[in-house]
Amino acid sequence: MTGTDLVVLQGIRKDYPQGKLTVPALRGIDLTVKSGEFTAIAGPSGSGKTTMLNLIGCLDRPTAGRILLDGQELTSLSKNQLAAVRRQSIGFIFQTFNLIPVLTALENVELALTLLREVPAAEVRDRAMKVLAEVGLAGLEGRRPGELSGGQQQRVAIARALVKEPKVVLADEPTANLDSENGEAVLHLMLEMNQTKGTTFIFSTHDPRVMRHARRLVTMRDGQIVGDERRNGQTAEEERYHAAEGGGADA
Amino acid sequence: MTYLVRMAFRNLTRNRLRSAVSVLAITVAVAVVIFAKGFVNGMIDTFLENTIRFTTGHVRIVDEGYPKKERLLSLAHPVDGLKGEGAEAFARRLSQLPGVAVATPRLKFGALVSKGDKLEGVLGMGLDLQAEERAAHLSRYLHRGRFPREGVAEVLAGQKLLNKLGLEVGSKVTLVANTSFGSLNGRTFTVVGSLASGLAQLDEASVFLPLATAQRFVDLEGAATEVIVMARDSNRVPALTREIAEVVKSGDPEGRYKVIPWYQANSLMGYMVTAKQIYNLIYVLIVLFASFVVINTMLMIVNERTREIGMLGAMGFTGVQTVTLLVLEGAILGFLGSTIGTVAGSVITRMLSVTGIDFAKAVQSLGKELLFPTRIYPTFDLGIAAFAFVLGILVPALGTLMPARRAQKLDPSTALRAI
Repeated sequence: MTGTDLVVLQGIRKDYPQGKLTVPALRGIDLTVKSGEFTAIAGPSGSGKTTMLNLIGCLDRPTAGRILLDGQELTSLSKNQLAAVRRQSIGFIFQTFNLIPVLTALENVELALTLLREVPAAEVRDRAMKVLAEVGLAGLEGRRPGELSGGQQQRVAIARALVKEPKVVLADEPTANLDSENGEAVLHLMLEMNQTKGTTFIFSTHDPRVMRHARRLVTMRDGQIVGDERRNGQTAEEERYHAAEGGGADA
Repeated sequence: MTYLVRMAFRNLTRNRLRSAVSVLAITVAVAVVIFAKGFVNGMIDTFLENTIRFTTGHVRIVDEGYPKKERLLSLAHPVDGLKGEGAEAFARRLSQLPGVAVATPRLKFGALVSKGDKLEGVLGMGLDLQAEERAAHLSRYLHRGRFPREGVAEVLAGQKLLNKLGLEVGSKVTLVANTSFGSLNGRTFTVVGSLASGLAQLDEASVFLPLATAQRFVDLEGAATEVIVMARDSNRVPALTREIAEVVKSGDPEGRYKVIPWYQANSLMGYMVTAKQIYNLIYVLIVLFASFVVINTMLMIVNERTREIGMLGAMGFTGVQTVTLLVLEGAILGFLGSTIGTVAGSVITRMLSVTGIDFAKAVQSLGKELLFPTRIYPTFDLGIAAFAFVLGILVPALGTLMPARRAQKLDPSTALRAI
């Protein structure tokens, strides 16, 4: 299932200036994520999970070190080049969904494809409809985010992240704003997408229930990686999930 | 671009009241600009036109000593043409210049009009009434009766002057004036017509008589106090002034005559031209002040949507796309406000350009020599409407650049952390 080195972090440091002080957020991170992996970054608040996701997602630059995405060095890219990488290669899922409230579910998903400027207009709608159906939102395409439940909104966000078939999907605490039932359902959906489409997922969490789903668990503390556990084969959660056979609970 | 326009339109529906207030501010400003520009242009253009027609012409040729004595209506500095050819011949010579519509001599003199025990000081004007049809165009103000004929003791007078003296068309009136030799001359004329122009100077304090009659009355045969020239093309007055100056110079080596274009006739004329330019700046300021509402709205939008702007950045929105989206929102507010304002302002101004606005009380306090009409007709043309319309879109759109640039500078990772 997993393949080539997709994300490579070498000696990554990230310092934030705070007044006259410099606060280190990451203190020398080395990490390689292979394509097709379903990786959780775990750790308590302030451990550097979000900072690391931001660096992988080209939302921020490291103070020192190198980041490679599918072999491309990111640290030397300009602001616009980083935006292009985000547009083409990275899908984001946020804790607070961050959908555009004035656009419908379909339009929110279409926007990600439209920004690519590579997909013909006629194809944009078809692909967006297809992905929305895949995440279980067929029939709700015309609703605006305010007319959807939290779980449904996060499904739209997942569809938005997946529709452009990115190299990697980064999810920052994707279940933190959902109740346990919807959280589970969203996790199952992400796992299903990982398994069926081979999409690489890296997500942060400090919820032990979410960690159980991960096939690789990277643990962080105080800006350093303190544990990296690769689970060969299926986790207990995955076994249960597959036994249920695509049983993504309704949001 | 289409998706940006769609997003911009939808974004404006998030807080409809706030968007409506922004649109209203631009609507009012644009409507005010159209009305104010129409009103000011109407007032200034009417004043300039009246002054050009009755006082300065497009170009005026006078004796060099006349301007200083003009207020005294002196007859000591007449114009009698080049090498004594006479004022009429001089006017005919100037009329032959290709850019000249009409050139005609005028003889202005001070006189007293009496009827019984009533006495009024007036401006007497000896005119070539036929030529003046293309200069002062007096016939449009003829209220009663007809124009005076040459060779007969007849005058035309302002209707209000007649009312003050208790006269009417057909009455006899005695005019007393200083002649060019300084002696007094008096003569009785028949009032054959009256004028009602809405201009105090003409209606209350002027009498008009044929040029030859006036010349005999003040002993200034063959001469006038000035020759006025009306140009065929009012935009070519500077060039025409130079051409006339050449003609005058060739026959007037001593430089007795001054050739004065209307915009140099007095400081007020120059001020009026400058005033129009200053007012143009004021119109921009009016729209700019209204645009502050839009700019404030956009600043609030950037603050409220910081996370969303961060998210768009994460999706790959470039800075230029963020700026475009926000400027589009400002421009749409401007476009809506400007469209409604242009329609409202145009309708109001167009109506008032027909009915006019009564300005009699304000004009009463001005001197009679200032040719301000008692009723002002705002001018309305598509140029004014287009000016205000474009201003109403451009200024808010440009004003939005500031908050948009602020959004552009937002770092996506920082923006995403915003509450």
